[in-house]
Amino acid sequence: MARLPMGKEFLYISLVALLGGGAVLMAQENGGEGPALRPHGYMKPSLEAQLRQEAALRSLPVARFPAPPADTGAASALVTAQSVLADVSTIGSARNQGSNNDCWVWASSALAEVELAHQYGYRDRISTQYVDSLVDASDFVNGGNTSLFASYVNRAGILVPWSNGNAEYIDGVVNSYCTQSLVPTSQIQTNPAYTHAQPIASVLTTQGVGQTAAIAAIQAALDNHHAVSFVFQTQFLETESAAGFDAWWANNAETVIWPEPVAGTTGMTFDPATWGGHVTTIVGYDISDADPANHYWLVLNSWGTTTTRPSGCFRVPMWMNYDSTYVRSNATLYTYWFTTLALTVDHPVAAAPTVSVPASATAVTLDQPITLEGTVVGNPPFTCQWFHNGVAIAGATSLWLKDPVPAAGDIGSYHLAVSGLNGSTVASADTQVVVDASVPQLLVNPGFETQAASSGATGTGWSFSSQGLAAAYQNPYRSGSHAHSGSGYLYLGNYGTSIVPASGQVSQTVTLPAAGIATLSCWVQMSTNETLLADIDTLALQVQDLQGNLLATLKTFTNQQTDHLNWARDAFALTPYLGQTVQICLVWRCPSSVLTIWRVDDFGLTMTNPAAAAPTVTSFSPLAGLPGTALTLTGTGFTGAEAVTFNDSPQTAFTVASDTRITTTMPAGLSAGPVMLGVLNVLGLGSPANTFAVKTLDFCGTGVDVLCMATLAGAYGSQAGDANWFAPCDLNGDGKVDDQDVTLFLANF
Amino acid sequence: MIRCLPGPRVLLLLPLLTLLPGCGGGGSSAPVSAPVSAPVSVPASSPVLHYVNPAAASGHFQLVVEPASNDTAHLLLDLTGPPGTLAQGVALFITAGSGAVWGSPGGTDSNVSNGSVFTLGSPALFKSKVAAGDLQAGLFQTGAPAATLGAGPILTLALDLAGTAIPKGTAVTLAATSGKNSAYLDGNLVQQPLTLDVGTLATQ
Repeated sequence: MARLPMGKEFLYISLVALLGGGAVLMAQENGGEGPALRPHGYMKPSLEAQLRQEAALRSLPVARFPAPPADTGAASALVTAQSVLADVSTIGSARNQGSNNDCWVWASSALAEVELAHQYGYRDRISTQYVDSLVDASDFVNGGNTSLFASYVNRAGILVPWSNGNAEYIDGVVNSYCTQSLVPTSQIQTNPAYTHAQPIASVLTTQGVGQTAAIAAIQAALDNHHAVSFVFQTQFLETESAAGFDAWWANNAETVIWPEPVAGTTGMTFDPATWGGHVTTIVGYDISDADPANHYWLVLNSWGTTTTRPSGCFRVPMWMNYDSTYVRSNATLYTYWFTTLALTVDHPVAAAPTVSVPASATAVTLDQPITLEGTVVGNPPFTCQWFHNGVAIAGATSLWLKDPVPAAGDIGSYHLAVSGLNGSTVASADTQVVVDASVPQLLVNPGFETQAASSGATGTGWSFSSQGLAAAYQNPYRSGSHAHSGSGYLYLGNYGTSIVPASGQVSQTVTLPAAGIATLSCWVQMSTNETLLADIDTLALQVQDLQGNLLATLKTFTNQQTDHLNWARDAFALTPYLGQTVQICLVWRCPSSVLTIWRVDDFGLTMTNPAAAAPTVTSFSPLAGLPGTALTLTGTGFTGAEAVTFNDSPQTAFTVASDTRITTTMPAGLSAGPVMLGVLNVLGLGSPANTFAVKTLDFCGTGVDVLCMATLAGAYGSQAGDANWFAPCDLNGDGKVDDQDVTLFLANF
Repeated sequence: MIRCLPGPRVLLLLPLLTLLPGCGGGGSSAPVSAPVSAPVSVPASSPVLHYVNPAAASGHFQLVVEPASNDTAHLLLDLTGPPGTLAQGVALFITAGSGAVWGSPGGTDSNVSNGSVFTLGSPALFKSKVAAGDLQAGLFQTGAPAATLGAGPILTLALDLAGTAIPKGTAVTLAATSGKNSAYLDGNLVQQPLTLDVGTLATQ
């Protein structure tokens, strides 16, 4: 399946400072696309929101844990290193908040994961996306902390596994136009879930008690197997050549201790342009070195991994200034906060899960995205894996399998396997996907997989022109992992380097058939650094005549729209232009030099036949059989069939092998006698002229026993017209009683 | 060549197997030699099944004991047909009362083994079912000329002693199944009633 490569886009997403600006574009070449955008998000709350957050932290109960073992002088009595990192389930490159400022959700979710693992043995990834979807506009923009996380989760009462449908992280691409999650809560599969989830946040006493007591408080939490949320305020200069935390993160190895917390006693000077807050997770400490200056907290970030930070962690000096403060608008605020979390959830005894997938065959046309929605009944944690024709699909570990661009190679059998707690219980289910490749694609090179050799061309079938762009950016064709599928795609916009205004057009001429339903679709993904609340940059999908006159604007994409921050598909009917030769055009205009780009990929212009009516069934085989008999129906118009009917009773378990062939199974419970078959689609029901004969082994109506066997033996070898012919014994309806009927009898006796 | 030598476990079993013919108390002293089933070890004090064949009757089918199995806990009964009768198969219903249960005579079917009269086709129209004490068995030729009964057993059934706590001298019912009519398929592929003579069965 041509699945969306989740995660890759995070490297090229837009970062725009939230409320107050401050995002600075990093001018570096990346993958041949041009200027790249800084990926890391952090919080930049308003003063009012920050005071509210700090008040919430002050009101938390104080966490108290048994003290670490006293130093008795025996080496074995003293804990010199501690780590709960192994109990954080969401780690690695997927632990990446992108440009979103939801670090507080990520850090708090890590605390919850540690609690689940340690208390109940549930090692499972918690959906940060689900919590994001719960957050209101103010908190979404300003950020939060462990207290706020506990508040939202307590109201919802559940924690959702990452492997649920639509529960994977999508919000990493949010920009300044976003005031809510890109995924509504209603679109996230919330069953299964950890139910009756009750997180309780608490604060560690680290301020005003001296370094030794502060360290002891954090150490005690870790020694008692609780991760600790570490909130810090610092400078985020958004350039790797400066001295901000983000630059330090990018330019140092994981073993280097962050120097800032020991610099000075009064903390930083507040600079509204560069100041920001960040929430991370302390997952361990190490005091084994003889020099206390080398004692550190091991802190898990949510900025992904790099070659120098393979664990996505950094180190913070243990002997830091816990009392550090700074002044913002006459308010004196603490620089560092430490919180932790207790969590209870329902923890019933693990039982074998039951799994289901779409029962009937899923028939799709090319360019029409599909989702196979698996469901599971049981108690998490679950591990999911989809298979295609028996082969595990890499990365397909969610209950829902998404295929945004079905291709002919995607046809076949799909299988979802789900294992329960510790892999001890396994259940699975199968379904079929049939891609109807008979629907023609009218565009040439719709996925931009072929680039013409001639300069200025966008690819075979497409033409290109632009104004205001440097020569290096005039050809919008790109190839790489950022494509929606395959490798080729269009990269349209001003690249942040244009001579304003930048504009251009990509088009292809196509002749539409005179009859049919024409559907145009394409996938678009947008990134921008614009912060003004105005439609400054636009990309219009248009239909033009051959002279370039506008016939219709199908959609105008703008820098303000947030529905295409991830790849999204739009589809339009081209019915008014049937029988005409027209141009399909993408026209863009960027009047400022602030970067806005659109990636465009996987066009589809397909025709379906409007004359398609109710299906027709011309024949079926076999003509008779017992309940459970495999049945093949032949006819026309089977694509998109909704049901196979037996005496008008619909049966949804069937497979559309092609537009002219359906396979199904005679349902159990049918009484012996004639049954009218049918195939149902949205336009009606088609049935054959003759009926299927449902057979029974009870030839004499007295019960199925060896006397029926005697009856079969008496009719064996006969056909209609013979003296010993007895039609009920012709179990497969082929007009004779032979070994096939004996086999059927024995198999069902 | 790899030669398989008897291992210690096999050697230990040999004296036991040697003792088996002596088991079962009175009656026949012949060794247990059921052709297709394993010897069954019964404690010396346990009862055995004793079957007395029915008297011969013209035109009737009969259940007769394989002598070697008589007075053991695993009785083999052969169904025989009226000598000279042409047939294509039989459908038999028979019920065993408490004291005995239907056992395996060996072969592909778990309750019935084919005898020497019928030549079965492929697939063989041959199957049986047991529900409680009721056994039904069907055995039919497909495509072969009608067979002449009387030259050998049509089929073989097996009865096992139902436990070892049954008092000796207990009569065990063995009769045609109530409400069911056994039949045979004659040479013209017409079902005919099958009159079955059954002997007497008891523990001893």
